[in-house]
Amino acid sequence: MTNVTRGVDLILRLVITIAFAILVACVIWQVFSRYVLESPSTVTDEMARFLFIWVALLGGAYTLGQRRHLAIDLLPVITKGTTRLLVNAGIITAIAVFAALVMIYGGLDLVNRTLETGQVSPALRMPMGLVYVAIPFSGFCILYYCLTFMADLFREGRGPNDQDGAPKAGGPLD
Amino acid sequence: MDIQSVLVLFGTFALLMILGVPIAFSIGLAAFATFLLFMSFDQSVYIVAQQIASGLDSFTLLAIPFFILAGNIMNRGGIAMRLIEFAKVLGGRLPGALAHCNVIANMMFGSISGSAVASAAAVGGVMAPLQKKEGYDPAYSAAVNIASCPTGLLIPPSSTFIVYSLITNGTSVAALFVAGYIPGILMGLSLMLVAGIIAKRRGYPVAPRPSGKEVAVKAADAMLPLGLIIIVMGGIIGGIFTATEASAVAVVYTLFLAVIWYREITWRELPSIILESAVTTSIVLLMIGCSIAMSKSMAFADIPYSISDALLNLSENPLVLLLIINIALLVVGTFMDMTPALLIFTPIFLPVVKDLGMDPVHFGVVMTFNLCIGICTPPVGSALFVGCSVGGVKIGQVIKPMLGFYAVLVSLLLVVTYVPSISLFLPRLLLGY
Repeated sequence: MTNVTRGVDLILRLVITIAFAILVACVIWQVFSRYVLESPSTVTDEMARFLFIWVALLGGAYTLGQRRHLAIDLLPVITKGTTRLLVNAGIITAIAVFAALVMIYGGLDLVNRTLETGQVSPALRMPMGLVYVAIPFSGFCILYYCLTFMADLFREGRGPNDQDGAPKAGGPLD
Repeated sequence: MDIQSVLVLFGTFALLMILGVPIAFSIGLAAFATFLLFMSFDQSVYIVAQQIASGLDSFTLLAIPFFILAGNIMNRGGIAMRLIEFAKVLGGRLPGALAHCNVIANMMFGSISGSAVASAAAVGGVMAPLQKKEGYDPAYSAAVNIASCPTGLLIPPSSTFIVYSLITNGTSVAALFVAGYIPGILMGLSLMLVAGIIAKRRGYPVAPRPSGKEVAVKAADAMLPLGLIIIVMGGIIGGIFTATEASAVAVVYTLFLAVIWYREITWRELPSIILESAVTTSIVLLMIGCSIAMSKSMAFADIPYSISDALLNLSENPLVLLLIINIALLVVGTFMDMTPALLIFTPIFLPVVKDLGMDPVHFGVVMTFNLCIGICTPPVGSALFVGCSVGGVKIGQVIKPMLGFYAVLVSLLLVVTYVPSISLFLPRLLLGY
């Protein structure tokens, strides 16, 4: 793992953890203001929704970097040699294609079109286009991780689903 | 019927998934490929990105990270131990006392942590050595633990129902939660029945009668963790909280319990618990965002309608159709994890069962129950893997004792499918659903 990757990991980890903590605080405040102060806060409602989008998408990129997204890890395990290399390269390419076309190209289009409409959120007066920047931003992070995965694959033969240590069993909500 | 779009959607998805592409990305790319049949490249990428954004912009979905966080806080604390002690008191007089204790503890702990796997690990990890010491066959103990750990996914609060609510455009979370009670408890009781019969035949021991004082002490000890369920579910049923608000209250309550009351987690450990919860959350959410796009592409291509047509051509009889759907889901469940299976197959089957006059809440319970069996079956069964690993047995050994439990679970699944009032009685009674 290079220093750059360590840096990207660290930044994402910090942003996600802090954003998640603020998110929790927002919704708790939301409940408190509704029941105790009897005037529900509209600001925290919006903040929570926007932070949530960022946590979900940046978290998605970070989770990819940790090789922890849910995948059916069958072909990369039963194949060997060149076939295995091709299978793993195919997986990384598919992820990169999604990140580049949908998340970056489509996401930037979404950001621009939303900014053009001048749509702002009611309470925070935040341009909605800026909220959606999370999609291309996450796309760039994912693309970066794909490049490091390719390098890892050809240098040490490590596939994109090979986690550090023992893999965790099962889906996230099982 | 538009064969081309069906082939493109499912072909792309199946190909990528089998290759080993993470499921969220497989879903997203399949949606993108399907949109390409109907619109330009630029429009297709735009609409997928837009669907991801609008899919994630939901206050209801916020409940998922909070329930996950509350569950993670509870998993670290000594909650499991307190619930197990209480469960011992409750199930101790039955033959094979420790097996019953395991089932009851899974029902309580699974409900609180919202995770079958966490429950299998926490409860099974404590129960397996105890049972071995009393001469229980380890394969039998592991099978009891594996089969009963998914009860917590049906007994609310349960993130699975929130995912279902979202993918079905807002089926009432409160109604789904309340509907899960009777099927989840029946699941536990029927497993106890089979476990008891086997235990009786093998002469497994009964625990001595606990004194009144012992019962009181252990019940009091378990009350604080169980209080979470009372606050969350009481608030939801009483119409005081929405599911999202209840989940935030659950975080505050668990933090208070684990950090301040029991002092089992320090403030320093919190960032790593939060990060872990964020990772779990993002695995679910990226999948949800992409599924929203896929479900939109399906609607564009009229795919649910085509499949509904094809199924209705197969048979007009609702009993037969529901059987076919259940069998299909059981097969899917053997190799696919619960959340992706729920996200992919709900939009396909819901229109069909709605045509048959089935209630969406009832179908949500049926799907969840069905997929609960799937996480206990090979080749891919997270509960099976974790249960075997904490029970110290091989998957091959546990299959034989599991067969009886599979039979009970499948029979009960059919009962829950064909008797709607098992699911709908409580929501009707308590919520006027």
